[in-house]
Amino acid sequence: MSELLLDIQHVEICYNGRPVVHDVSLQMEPGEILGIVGESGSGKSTLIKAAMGLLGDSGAVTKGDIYYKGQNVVDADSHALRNMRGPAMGMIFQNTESSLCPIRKIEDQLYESVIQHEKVTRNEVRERALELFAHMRLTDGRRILNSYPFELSGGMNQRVGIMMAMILKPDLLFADEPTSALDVTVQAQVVKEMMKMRELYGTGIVIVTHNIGVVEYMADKAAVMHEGNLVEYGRKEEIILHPQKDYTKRLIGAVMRINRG
Amino acid sequence: MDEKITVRAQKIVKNRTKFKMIVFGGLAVLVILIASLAPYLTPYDPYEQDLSIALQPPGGSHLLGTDRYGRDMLSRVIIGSQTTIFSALLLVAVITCVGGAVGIICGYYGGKLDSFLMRVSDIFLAFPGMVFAIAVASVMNGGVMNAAVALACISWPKYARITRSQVMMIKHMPYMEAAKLSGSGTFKMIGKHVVPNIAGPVVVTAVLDIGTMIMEIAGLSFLGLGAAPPTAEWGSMMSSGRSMLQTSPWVILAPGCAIFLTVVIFNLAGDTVRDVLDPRE
Amino acid sequence: MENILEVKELKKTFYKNKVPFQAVKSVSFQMKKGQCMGIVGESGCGKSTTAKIITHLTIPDGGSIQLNGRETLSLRGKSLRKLYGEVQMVFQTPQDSFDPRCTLGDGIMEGMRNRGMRKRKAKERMYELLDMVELDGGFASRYPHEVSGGQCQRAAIARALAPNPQLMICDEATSALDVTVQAQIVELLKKLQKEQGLSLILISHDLALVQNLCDHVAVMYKGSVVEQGAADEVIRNPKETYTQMLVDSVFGWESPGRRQPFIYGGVCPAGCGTA
Repeated sequence: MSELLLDIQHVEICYNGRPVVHDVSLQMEPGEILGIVGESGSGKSTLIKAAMGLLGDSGAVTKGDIYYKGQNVVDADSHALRNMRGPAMGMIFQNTESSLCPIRKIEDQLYESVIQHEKVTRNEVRERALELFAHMRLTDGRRILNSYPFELSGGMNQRVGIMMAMILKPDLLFADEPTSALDVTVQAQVVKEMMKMRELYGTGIVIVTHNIGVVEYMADKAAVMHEGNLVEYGRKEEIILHPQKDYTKRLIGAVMRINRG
Repeated sequence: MDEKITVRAQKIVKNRTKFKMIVFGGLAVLVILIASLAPYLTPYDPYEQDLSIALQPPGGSHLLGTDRYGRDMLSRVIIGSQTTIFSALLLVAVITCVGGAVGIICGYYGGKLDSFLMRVSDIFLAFPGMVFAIAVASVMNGGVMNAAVALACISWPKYARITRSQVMMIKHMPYMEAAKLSGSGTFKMIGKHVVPNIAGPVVVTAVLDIGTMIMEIAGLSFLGLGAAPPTAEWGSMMSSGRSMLQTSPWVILAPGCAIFLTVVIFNLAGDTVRDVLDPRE
Repeated sequence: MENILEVKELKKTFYKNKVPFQAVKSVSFQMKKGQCMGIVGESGCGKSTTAKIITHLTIPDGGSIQLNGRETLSLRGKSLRKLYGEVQMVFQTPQDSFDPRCTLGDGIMEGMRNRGMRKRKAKERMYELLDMVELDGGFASRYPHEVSGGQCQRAAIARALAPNPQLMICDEATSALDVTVQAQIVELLKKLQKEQGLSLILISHDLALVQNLCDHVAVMYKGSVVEQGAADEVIRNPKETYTQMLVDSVFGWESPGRRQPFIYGGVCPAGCGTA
C-alpha cells in the first residue's frame, strides 16, 4: 500500500480557546486533487493553515494529528517545518501580490527562496521559471521575471504564485482560494494551469474554495465543511451529483448553474 | 493553554483601559472643576497685598508661602488655574472647529478650493511656531487673549490636515453614496455621516493638545507676552519669581509644579481617550 | 409595453494623475417596464460606472438617459431628489453601504425623513419594509457590524424600496455573500419584482445568475456593449467571440453539451489581452 500523501486524523483546532474545527479526518493519495468547499466560517481555511503549519500564535491543533508522508506536521519544530515548506509542500494564496515584497523584482525574490533549499545558480533558476511559464503557455516569461509585483495584473500575479510554488517541484500543493479574486476568464485559465502541474509533475493539490464549479471541474475528491464540521467527504461525482446530507444538498442546490446551448 | 492565556490577557487589557479612563478622566474633570470654582476655593484673596508677610516660606497659615507682595501663593495658584486652563481649552476648541471646518471643506469638495486652502495652511505651517506667536503677540500688545489668538494662527493647520485626510478616506465609501441616493443634502451628509466618522483621531489630537496649549500659553506669559500683572497666571507667576529661585524658590516652584501636574494629567487623559477610541474593538 | 429606461451613447473618462482612462466608451440599451436586465462583464469593463451614471452618482461626459421618457442627466436640486425616489441602488458590500455609526433602522428611514415624512409614519413604514424583506423588527436597532452579510443586504434592499422606486439597480449585490445566502437574496429579489412590479438591473460577473434571473442581458467589455439580447439566447448562442469566451469560462456541471473551459494563454483572438 502506497504511503498517504496527506493524512488528517480526527483533528480539532482551537482559536483562543474556542474550537473552530471539530473532528475532521481526510486522506489524500499522491497525485490526487482534493477540493474543500464551504461557506464563510466553515473552518476550511483554518484546516489548511493547520496542515501547512501556519496557524499562528492564537491557533492550535488541540486533538488529532496531521501527517505528511508519515511525518507529523503538528508536532514538527519550526526547523523541520521550514524544510518541508518549499520542496515538499508548496502554497498558493488568494492574493499572491500581497505575499510578495513590493519593492523587489520577481526574479530576485524567486532566487532568494530557491537557494534556501537547493544549491543552484541564478541562470538555473531562471531557466526553470521560464520552463514553467512555457507550460502555462506564457510567452513573455522574461518580462514577468523582470517586473515588480505591482506592475503585473492579478491573474499574472497568481501565475507567478503557481510558478514560485512549483519551482521546487513539491509533492503537495496547498491552494487557499487561489482564484477567488480573479476575473472569470482568468480564473478558468489559472485552474487549467494548476491541473497541468499535476499532469506534468504528479503533484497532489489541496484546493480550498467556495466555488463548487471549480471543485467539480478539477478535483478527484471533495470535502464539504460547515461550521467546523466535515459534513460529507468522498469522490467528487458522489458528493456533487448525489449528495447525501441535507446541508450538502442545500449547498449544491443553491449554486446557480449555466445552461449552454 | 496558550489560548486561555491570550483570552485572559485581552480581558485584563480591556479592564485596565477602563480603569485608566476613570482615573485620568476623573482627574482631568477635577482640574477643570477646580478651575471653574476657583474664586470660591481660595483661602485668601489672591490679589490682596500685605508687605509685612512678604516672601514667607511654605507652612503655617500659608501652605505654599507668600510672594514678594505678600500675596498667598496657594490662592494665586488656584485662581491662576482659571486663566491658564480655560484659555487653553478655548484655544483648543477654536482651532479644532476652524481647522476641522477647513479640512472638511477641502476633503469633501476637493479641486481648486482644496488646493487653495491647503496652500494657505502651508503658509501658516511654514512659520516657526513660537517665533511667530511671539511676533503676533507683541504686535497686539500682550494679554492672554491675544496670546491665544497668536497660538491659534499657527496651530489650526494641523487639524485641517487631519480632518482632510480622514474625509478623503470615507468620501467614496458606499454609505456616502447610499446617503446621497436617499436625497440627503450636503449639510446633512457632512453633519450626520462625515463628522461622526472622522471624530475619533480629531478628538484624540485635541485632548492631547490641551496640555501642549497650557504650556505654550504659560510660555508666552513667562516671556511677558501673555497675561499682564496683576492677573494671576502660572506662566507670568513663574516669570516674576525667576530672580528669586535661590532665595525663595517656592515663588517659582508652586506655579511650575501646577503646570507640570496639569499637563501630565491632560496628557494621560488624552492617551486613554486614544486607547478607548482605538479601532481595536 | 413602454421603455422605462433608454440609455444612449454614454461616455465617461476618469483621470488618474492626469492620465485619462476611458471607463465607458459607448453604452446604449433600452429596458422595458417590469423587466429584469443583466449587465455582465469582467472587472474594468465599465458596468459599475454605468450603474452610477444611471443613478446620477456620476456625471457622464456624454450621452443621454431617459427614465419614463424624461431626460435625467440635466436634473438638479429638487427634481434630482425626485429622481432618487424613482431609481435606487443596492451595493456590493452590504456592511459598507450603511453608516457604521447609525442603526439599520436610521439608514432605512433616512430617505423617508429627507422627503418630509413624519418620524412616526417613517417608523411604521420602516417596519413594513423590514417585513417585506423577511427581517424581524428587532433589526431596526442593530448596527451594521452586528449583523451578517445576508441580513445587512436585506436591510439595504428595504432601504432601496422605501421610496417605492420604479427601477432598482443591484451592483454585484450578491457577489460578497455566501452561496446559500446568495440564493436566498435572489429568491427575495424575484419575489419583490413580482409583488412590486419592479424593474431590475443586475450588474454581475456571474453569467449563471444572470441567465437564471434576467430577461435581457448586455455584455460589456472595456467600456462598450459588445452584445445584447435575450439573456438565455445570448448565453446559449453567443455571437461575439468575447461572449463565447465568457460563457466557456464558467465552471458548471450537469448541463447538456458541457464544454471544457478554453484557454487562450495570453492574447484572445479579438486582441482583448485579458491575461
